[in-house]
Amino acid sequence: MVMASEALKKYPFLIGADTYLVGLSLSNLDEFPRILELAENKIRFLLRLSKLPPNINDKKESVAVFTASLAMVSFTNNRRLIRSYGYALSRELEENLAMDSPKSYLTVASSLGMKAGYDGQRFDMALVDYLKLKGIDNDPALMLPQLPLKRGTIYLSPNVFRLMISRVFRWVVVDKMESQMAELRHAALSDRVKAAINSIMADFSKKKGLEVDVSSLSPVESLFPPCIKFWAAEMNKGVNIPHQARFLVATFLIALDMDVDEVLNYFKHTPDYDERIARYQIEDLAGERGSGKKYSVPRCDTLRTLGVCVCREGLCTHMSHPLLYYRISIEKKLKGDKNAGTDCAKSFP
Amino acid sequence: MLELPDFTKREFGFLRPDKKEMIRHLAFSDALSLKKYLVALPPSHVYSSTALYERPSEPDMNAKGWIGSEMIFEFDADHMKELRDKPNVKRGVLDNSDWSLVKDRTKHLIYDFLIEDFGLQDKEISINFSGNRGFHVRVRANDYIDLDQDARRRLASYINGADLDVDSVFTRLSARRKVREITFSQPGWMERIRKIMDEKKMSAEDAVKEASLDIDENVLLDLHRLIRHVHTLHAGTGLVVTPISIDGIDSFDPYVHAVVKSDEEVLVKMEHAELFNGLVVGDLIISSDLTGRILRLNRSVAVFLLLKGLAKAIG
Repeated sequence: MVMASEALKKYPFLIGADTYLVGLSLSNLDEFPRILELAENKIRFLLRLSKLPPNINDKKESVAVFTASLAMVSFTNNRRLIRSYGYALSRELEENLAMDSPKSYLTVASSLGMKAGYDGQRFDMALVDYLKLKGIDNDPALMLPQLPLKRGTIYLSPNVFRLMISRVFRWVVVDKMESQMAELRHAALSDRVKAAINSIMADFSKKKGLEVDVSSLSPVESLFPPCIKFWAAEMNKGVNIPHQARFLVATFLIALDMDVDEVLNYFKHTPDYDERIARYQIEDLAGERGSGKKYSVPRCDTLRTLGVCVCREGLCTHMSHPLLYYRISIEKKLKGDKNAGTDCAKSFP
Repeated sequence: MLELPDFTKREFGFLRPDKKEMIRHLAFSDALSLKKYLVALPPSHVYSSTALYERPSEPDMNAKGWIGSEMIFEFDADHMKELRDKPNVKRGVLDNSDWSLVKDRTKHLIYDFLIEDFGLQDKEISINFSGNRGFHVRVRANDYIDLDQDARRRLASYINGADLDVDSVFTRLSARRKVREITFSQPGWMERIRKIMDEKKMSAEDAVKEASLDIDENVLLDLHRLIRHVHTLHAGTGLVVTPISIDGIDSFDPYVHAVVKSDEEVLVKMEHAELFNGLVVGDLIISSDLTGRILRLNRSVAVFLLLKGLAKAIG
């Protein structure tokens, strides 16, 4: 399949791109020194570790560099780096799309498994196809109530559709990198490839600061996300809070590695408190009973749906998970940010 | 009568009068087999799965082979903020105005959200009277049946307005007229807000509250839920879980149409009749002066009154 050169150079993941990948893998990347160099340059440029963009000649090179860069980032086994690179790739895609005509969006979208139509002014998509998309839950502009919807079809302006493509693309590449992690962990790499990857990791860590492992620190209540602070305060006042809010607080505190007695302290003023039952329930959530399953802290989109989310300001507008909020607040505090952890503080001091 | 589409792919569960634990992971080849089972071992509650499975009787949920799940929306008066604190609702008996509100909310879901916004067809939607305080709306549509929880969460958030960016609506309201016209002529939530604001002279914030529906997300998101099986009795009321056509909901009177026909009569002594003056149950019109009187009633009507504490058995 021969692809239009410019399209494939800009969008090296289009359907059929893999026909240009004959014989390339992370294990033999040192046999392709130019691809290795360009892939390292691309990663560095997109992560803003370098100002020099990779000088890619053609579609074949672009496909190889894209694929190699994903494998190199996967090999780091560093989820933060993977997420950052996914974000950077989606930003690059959005910029490229903005320079193209909306008609070309359909080709890109289709390569990502998105089904849509275009009438020359706006895009349309079946509601069920929209519902199956991944990666679009954190952008208010892409949430269903904000979109025109009639009789099972949603309508999207070129700008909104472009944003949607970039978010789906981010999810696809991050998912690909994360699923490659285990497979590539034991790959035999040449010293040259290893050195390139290690150098990227070192510069990335230096730029971003070391990632905080929240469960290794003593809990800092002032930096808890607003939802945890709010519901904990309500319980402390003796309010009978909803089950979902109790679940949120308990799983969050357990995730910080608090022991059961410490978690119980948060619940002891609730009107229906019974220590024996509460202890049993918390041990169950912590995976210390029954099936041994440890329950996860609900994501922000779940909390919004359940009506347990209490803040849509500041850092919360960008958050997908309460633990992420907490980790970022700690990092901000360590960097001396006095406003860390104060979102929505005025609404419920 | 006990038939449901894809009958053999459903899991059944029962609660027996003498046992607290549910007997579940059962499957039947047809409605007649189910009926024989119910006659042989009468349970107090009969449930069937909203999910369809390759192997519904497999006890390990992971081994059942999930095919998909109907979407279920529950509208129960005791979960509606306007009704849940009313003494009669707490007692489990709704008056005509309560039923009217429950029906309005159910119709709002069906006509405005399911049909107008989601594009579902009438034939893909069915309604059951739950046997107690509300209705179950079931969506059985091929395109929707295999939706995962994330997808269902988006629908729930759409209906309850949780993902509605109200700030953005307010911003658009104060924008130039042209922008406002474009934004508010968009079908879906934006058009709905505009319509309510114009017709009811409400603020955008109140219009959102007016149009959103407080549905129980846990029910919609549960892919393995068991719900009361159609045409079986609710043990808390003695009323039948009754299928209703969409356009038949207005004329459906739960305390008349879901009462089992019975020729048998029993004696009861009426109590607290003054709380439900004018309420019709089966062929009985309750009036205040019935309190303390001994009546010979149709058995099904008597069962309802006994279960709701409105009568005592005689003899």
